[in-house]
Amino acid sequence: MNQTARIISIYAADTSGVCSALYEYGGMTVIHDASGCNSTYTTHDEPRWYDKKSMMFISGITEKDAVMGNDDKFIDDLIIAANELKPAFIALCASPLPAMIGTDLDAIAFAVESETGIPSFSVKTNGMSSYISGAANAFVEISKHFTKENPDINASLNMSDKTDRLKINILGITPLDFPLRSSYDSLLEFINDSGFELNSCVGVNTCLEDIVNLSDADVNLVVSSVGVSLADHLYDEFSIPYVKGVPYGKEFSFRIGDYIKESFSTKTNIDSTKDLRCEGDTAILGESIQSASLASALLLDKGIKACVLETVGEGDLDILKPFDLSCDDEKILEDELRKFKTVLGDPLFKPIVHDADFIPLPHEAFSGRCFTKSAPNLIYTDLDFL
Amino acid sequence: MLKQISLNENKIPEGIKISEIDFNNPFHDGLHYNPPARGVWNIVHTGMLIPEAHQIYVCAQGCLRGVILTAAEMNRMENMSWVALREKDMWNGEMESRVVEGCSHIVDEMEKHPKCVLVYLSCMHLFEGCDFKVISKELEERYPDIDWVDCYMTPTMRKSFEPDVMMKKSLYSPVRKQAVDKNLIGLIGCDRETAKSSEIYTLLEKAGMKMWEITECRSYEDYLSLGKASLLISYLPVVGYAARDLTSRLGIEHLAIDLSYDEEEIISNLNSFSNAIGLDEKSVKETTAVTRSNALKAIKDAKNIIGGRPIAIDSSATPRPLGLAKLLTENGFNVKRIYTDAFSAKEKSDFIVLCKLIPNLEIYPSMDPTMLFASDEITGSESDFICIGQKAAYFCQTRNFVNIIEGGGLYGFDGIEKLCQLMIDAFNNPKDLKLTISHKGLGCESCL
Repeated sequence: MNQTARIISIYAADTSGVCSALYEYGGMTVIHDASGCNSTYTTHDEPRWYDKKSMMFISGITEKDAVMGNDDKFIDDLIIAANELKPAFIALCASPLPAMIGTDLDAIAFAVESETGIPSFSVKTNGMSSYISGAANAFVEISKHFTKENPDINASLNMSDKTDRLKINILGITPLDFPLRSSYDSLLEFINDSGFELNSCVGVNTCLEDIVNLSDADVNLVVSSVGVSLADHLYDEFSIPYVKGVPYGKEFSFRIGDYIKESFSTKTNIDSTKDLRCEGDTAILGESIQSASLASALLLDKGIKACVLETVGEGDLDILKPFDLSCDDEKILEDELRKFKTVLGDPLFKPIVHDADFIPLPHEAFSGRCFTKSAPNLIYTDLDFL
Repeated sequence: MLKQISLNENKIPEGIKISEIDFNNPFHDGLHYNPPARGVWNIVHTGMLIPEAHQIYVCAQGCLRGVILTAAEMNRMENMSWVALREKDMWNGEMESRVVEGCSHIVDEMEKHPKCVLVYLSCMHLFEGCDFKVISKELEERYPDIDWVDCYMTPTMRKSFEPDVMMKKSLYSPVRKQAVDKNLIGLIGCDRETAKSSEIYTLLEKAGMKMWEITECRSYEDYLSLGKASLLISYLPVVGYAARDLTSRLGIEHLAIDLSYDEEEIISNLNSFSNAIGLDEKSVKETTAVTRSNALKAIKDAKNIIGGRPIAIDSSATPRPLGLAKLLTENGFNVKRIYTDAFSAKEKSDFIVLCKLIPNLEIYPSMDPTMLFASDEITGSESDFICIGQKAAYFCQTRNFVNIIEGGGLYGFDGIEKLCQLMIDAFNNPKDLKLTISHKGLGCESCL
């Protein structure tokens, strides 16, 4: 039954996505929430919480505030905290109840910015969507506020004219999709080995300067659905083209490297999985860009044909092929999975995989910190986990 | 007068002296910070105490995420299901039917019906004016073999009905009146086992009676046998609402014998308990003659070992942090800090004593945004604090701490003795702070 699950987990929500996206930029991110969003995020969705400080708070809204429309308290509390903590910016997002009663977070952000002089904005959430939309919206909002105009951008340059190394932004990397430090290191290794230069990595191991300088890049590499909206925004605003795909395995990584050069030369956006997918008896569960990338890498490196079963219910569905499926319904998914001989997915999907061989691929956005210790890093490496 | 905690020039928050703080409203209740101490139980942990029960949460994705992963970390996903609310559900007038149909689908998918299903509704249902009675009635009619229990995940109501208080009420609501067993006493409100060496058990044994504790129930029938109890007792404060519900439904008397660190209050409570189970005060004197002297000796031993090391206590460790601070201070310990966001009315007298005894005792909140900067785990520098409670240990960045929540199942003079032993252990055996406090739900199984 739609929206119902007997035994599987649920993906991180949009509010966690916002916090995860903005974690390292020195701002103060506040979820307008009674209680729970904060501890859920900091326990299950944020592996950096213990070791790296970030101003992530909730408003502590009560039923009285909600019924009486007492936004003044929230505004006053934001101003008190901002004056004490002096964040670089203030980002607000809504949990279900403020979304339900129509709290005007844009107006609250405006009031707070007017009073404190600190750039303030809201990020659209309602606590009922996945981390993908929350993080994607957050990246776009922070870019709108801080990314500099780039008067030097030269749209006519192509590869043959380019004398220095291509500058690459990595978009869509948050711990919800890539919790391992080694994933970041491998992406960097891929960028360097391919003869490119990292301009900004958006999401992890980053700072506000990276957002400011996003417009300096030549090409954006989008490694999850979380980065697509920002990639579109940067394409619209600065004509920076993008390539979708995670450099899993070796051969597929090389292919992505070629596509990045092509994307720069042609100024077109490229789906790096476009010609590399075949229907098969292996299923990959998870977020669409990562899953489609893994399917492509398995085909190139191992000759394995795999279908993608996109299970978040949100994200980049354009990357899916006709033989793939987007499904966040447990029962339908359980029935679909009977068609496959091998299933790769988060261990919390295992109870609905009955006959197939199950290969665990922990996904922080689904199982939180439960299996982080056993999560493999597949980026720019031999796919020997199979 | 509300106090606004502030940062010093090194961005470290400064505590408020107890002598300068308003007992009723110690801190400004503004934005909330969440320290990474995960030992305190939530409504999932508590609900899992009912044997052979299943939990279904009906709420938004953001709310579901925390409870589902609580169950996942406990390795209890087989006892957990969910129904997600989407934006359209707010407007289509089908809130009740979504609960009913969602729960029905889940139960139909199970190989065997559970004996009891806890259905958790959310703030959204509350604000929609959702008809909870219609839901219960429909589910009971469809599945008469299941005890359906309405539970609430409504944190917006926390100022009037804390989720923990509501959960304690729901926890006992399937219990029905049974033929009274005069020898059975029900201990309610404790999520964790109470030390069997405490005076409560000694007195019970003297009276030839036995205790019902939810932690010892292995089957749903064991659990329901609370309905046979001749008396209900409790010693933790969150159980009041549940106790009132049980006494009115089952006609069983309830006796609150609050956890305390004050000698007079301990004896008074034990006397009340003793009278209620048909013993006289002599029994209490006999029992406490030994435990009291053991407690005094343990306090001395702990003081000799710990010496002048600073001590911090947080309110997640015990419902009476001020009472514990008073006991320790009166016995020569160097109590420097208390971490609490509010004071219990029952601690007023301890507060007054402490204001005179150690007026410079620093009171810190745990949720104020400035507390983000209270700890210095980045540089790895440790303080020399001995802490009681996970949050105090985190804020003070010490590996020397007593790892308990909600009193730790320690009661009476025996509890004081055990606590002193734990303090000595904390002094002698440093713990891995990050690993220890990351474990969600102290005492529960964890997959981490």
